[in-house]
Amino acid sequence: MFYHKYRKIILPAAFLPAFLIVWELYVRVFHVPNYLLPGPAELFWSMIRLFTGGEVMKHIAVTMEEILVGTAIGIAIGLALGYLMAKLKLIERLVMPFVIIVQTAPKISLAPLFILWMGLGIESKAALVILVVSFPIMINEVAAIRSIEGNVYNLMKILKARRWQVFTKIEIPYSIEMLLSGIKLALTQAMTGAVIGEMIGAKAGLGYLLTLGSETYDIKMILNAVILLSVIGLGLYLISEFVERKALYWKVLDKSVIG
Amino acid sequence: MSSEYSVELKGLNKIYSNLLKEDTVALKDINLQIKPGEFISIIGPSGCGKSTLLRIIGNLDKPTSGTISYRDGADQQMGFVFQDSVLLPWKNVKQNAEFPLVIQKKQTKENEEKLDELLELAGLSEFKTALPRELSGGMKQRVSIVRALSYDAPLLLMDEPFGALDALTRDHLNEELLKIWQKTKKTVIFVTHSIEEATFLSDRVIVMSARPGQIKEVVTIDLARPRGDVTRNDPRFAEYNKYLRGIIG
Ligand SMILES: Nc1ncnc2c1ncn2[C@@H]1O[C@H](COP(=O)(O)OP(=O)(O)OP(=O)(O)O)[C@@H](O)[C@H]1O
Ligand SMILES: [Mg+2]
Repeated sequence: MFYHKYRKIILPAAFLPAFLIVWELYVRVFHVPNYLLPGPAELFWSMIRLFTGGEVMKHIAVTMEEILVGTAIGIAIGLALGYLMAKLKLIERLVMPFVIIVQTAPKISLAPLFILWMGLGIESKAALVILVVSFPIMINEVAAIRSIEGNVYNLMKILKARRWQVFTKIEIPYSIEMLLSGIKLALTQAMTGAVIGEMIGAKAGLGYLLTLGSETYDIKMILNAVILLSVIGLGLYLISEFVERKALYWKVLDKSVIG
Repeated sequence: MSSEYSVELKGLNKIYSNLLKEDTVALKDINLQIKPGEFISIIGPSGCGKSTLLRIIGNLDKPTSGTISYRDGADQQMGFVFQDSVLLPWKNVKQNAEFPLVIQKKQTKENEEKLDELLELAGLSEFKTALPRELSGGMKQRVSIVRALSYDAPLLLMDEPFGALDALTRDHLNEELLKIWQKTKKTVIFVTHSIEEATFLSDRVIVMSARPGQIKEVVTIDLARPRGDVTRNDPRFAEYNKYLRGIIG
């Protein structure tokens, strides 16, 4: 009973120590130099030192800020543009060709441009995140509004509903549904955007630590940054999945990969 | 325009223009007077314009020419039941049923009590908090009907509301619909493919012909009310069905 209920936690929890022991043994037995691959114990102590040094909190905060601010603004812009495009044919005809062109180009490739324009601070990375997030949200919003059945609008017409009632009672709920099922992907992309932006040019952030580590041949710093990014990614994923489950209670949701 | 009739249609035409094909004459010279409290069925071959006619009566579509007048004038309140129930998936049964009251800001205590009665009448009392995805097709359609009745519109338009249901459920819901109709005294315009359903429910059956969609004949069904199993076993019920089948051809 107990095993079945917590199988998802027990199995990885048993696997992790085994993995760490094999890793430690491998490093010791084959005398792998620690500038190529440190053992887990050594890595663990370097992580502790990173935190007691105090600096790392600043880097985490910078990256988080870029992700969260960028995602929030990106969602707002994507929703507004997507709604307008779905509702006004003219806007769609004007904007859609450009959307397709920009959409097919890797948006990350704009990172150097943004850094030239906006400097090494948070702004350039937040702008990159906004760009990366707003496009898929915009396209999904167009699809979400288009997917509303004609008879739903007919129902509102029969009820003599006002335009803003159609907006608040029908269009907003359908947009929220789309948004919540798209937010996990948006956050993943936001994180990639922020980190790559930081790697290309920044004064702080976990991506900056990655570049710094590689420039100074500090493999422990690289590994620590990767671990921290994974933890942040996992945290964001679990939070958005929790919110999705609570808010989309009325839908049969797919089984999640984790959690 | 207002009228002594619940709905009055005069010289109604509907033509769909198409760039590639010839124009479709969906409705041609439809004249019809429907009395308050009447139960009218519209029947005819697929594509003869039944849905088009109902949509025009419901103000969801404009006629190419001709006039419609309602008893309460241009802002006539109507209920519409679609073939697929069109429930909002995030609202439960109760919330879906009271949606019109929310939209029209009529959530008075009296209306809420009436709604509870309707839910009871439709056998939905125990499912008030169920979500649409947990309901069977027949239950969804009941919710849809209660929703159309919730704001007490005197005119109820139904487009093949039971078309997707099995015969047993359909018969059962037909009887329930008649009970509700007798209690609420609505005018009902009911589109169907089923001759038996039309006979069982209606005061008058409008038979339409296809291309162009015209009224072929209006048949008055003179069977006693309330109707039920007894009606279905009445030899005259079978005669009406046979007669209607003959006209439709
Ligand atoms: N929006 C439209 N544009 C062009 N033609 C249309 C449109 N809507 C309906 N028609 C045509 O008008 C005719 C009548 O259609 P309608 O849907 O009213 O038929 P119906 O009697 O309800 O058919 P069914 O029994 O299959 O539901 C059909 O020939 C159809 O192709
Ligand atoms: Mg139809």
